[in-house]
Amino acid sequence: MITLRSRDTSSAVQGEADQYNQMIVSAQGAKFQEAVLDGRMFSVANATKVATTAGVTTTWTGLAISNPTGSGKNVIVHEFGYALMIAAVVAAGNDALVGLQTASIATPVSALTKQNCLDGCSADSSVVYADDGATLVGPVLKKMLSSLGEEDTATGLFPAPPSVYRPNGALILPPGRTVATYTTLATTACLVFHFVWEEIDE
Amino acid sequence: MIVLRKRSTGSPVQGEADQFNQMVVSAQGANLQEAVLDGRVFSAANATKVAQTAGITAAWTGLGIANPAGSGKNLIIHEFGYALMIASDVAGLIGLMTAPVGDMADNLTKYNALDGEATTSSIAYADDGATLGTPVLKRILSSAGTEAMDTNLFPAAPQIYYPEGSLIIPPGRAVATYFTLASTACFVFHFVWEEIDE
Repeated sequence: MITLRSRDTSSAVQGEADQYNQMIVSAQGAKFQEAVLDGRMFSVANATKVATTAGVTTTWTGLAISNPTGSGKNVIVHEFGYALMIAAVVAAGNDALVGLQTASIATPVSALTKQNCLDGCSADSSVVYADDGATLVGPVLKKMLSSLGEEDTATGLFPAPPSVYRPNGALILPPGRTVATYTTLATTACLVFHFVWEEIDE
Repeated sequence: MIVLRKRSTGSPVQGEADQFNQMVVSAQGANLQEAVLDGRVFSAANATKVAQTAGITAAWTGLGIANPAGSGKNLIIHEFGYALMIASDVAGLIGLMTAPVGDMADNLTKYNALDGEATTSSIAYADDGATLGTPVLKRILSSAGTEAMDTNLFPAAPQIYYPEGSLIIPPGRAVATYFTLASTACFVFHFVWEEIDE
């Protein structure tokens, strides 16, 4: 028998099973809090609106995070957020899809400031490079998330639930790989993005 | 072998594994209920609509939660909600920024998530305007326009962001609302947070 200590009475109690012989547990707390307190989680956002390039392209702008070759870490992408700061102006059409592509970057650079999710603490232990423009190598579209048109944000737009995608572990970057924003068509500077990720040993 | 007591019969049964040899469990209950019953979870909201300051700015208004220096606690931000009470006069992006506490003070009423209980144990400050330290934009959540709300607006899904533990405020730091442009009073916000020992 599994014996536990009752939080209420301090007495010994037996761990229990349900009708399917599955142990009944109570999962408490926020799922990333221990990783954050352990200093393994970081974030980055564009400081202001950015122009995006068209489709799966090597000469790219938006927001990306890269796990450099030889880092010894895997990067679990936990969260991706996107929103319009002003109305989108699409270069060659009237609508676009927002998504994520993965690739490698020959020589990634850390052009944007990363932030520790334990707010205000150093992000020096992070191996990731964050950038808003680079030359991608072999990009592949991986996630289709939303669509946007050219509707003027001054009309027709009410606040919506957060435009936040959580891969739930289904997007992990090993060393040498990059995840980058994707839009079908080039846009003028209108979108802002953020990523939240965890860095674990390979 | 792990032996459990079957709740329905009281008899001993063996804990079981799935095809990947992972123990199968049944996770019950809401993930914050124990923290709430323990008196560690609090909330704050604007009492009415508030004006927004423009962008990443130190002289700020909206809704913020501060963890004063030396508190001995970390604040886990569990929930952030936002909605328009009346139409906004400007269009912009809704987000969250963090900053050193600056001169934030305990100006708004906090509430215990165990409803009606005291908040005397809470060390957080809730404020709707202050001069922050240098803020940084951290989360990009949604956009708002100036569409009149008396037409074309139906209730939407709750506009709530759950950081799931990915936003923790240590002593001396604060989280505050962000909007791209200065607006007249139109938005109302809420935060839910947990206070744990450092």
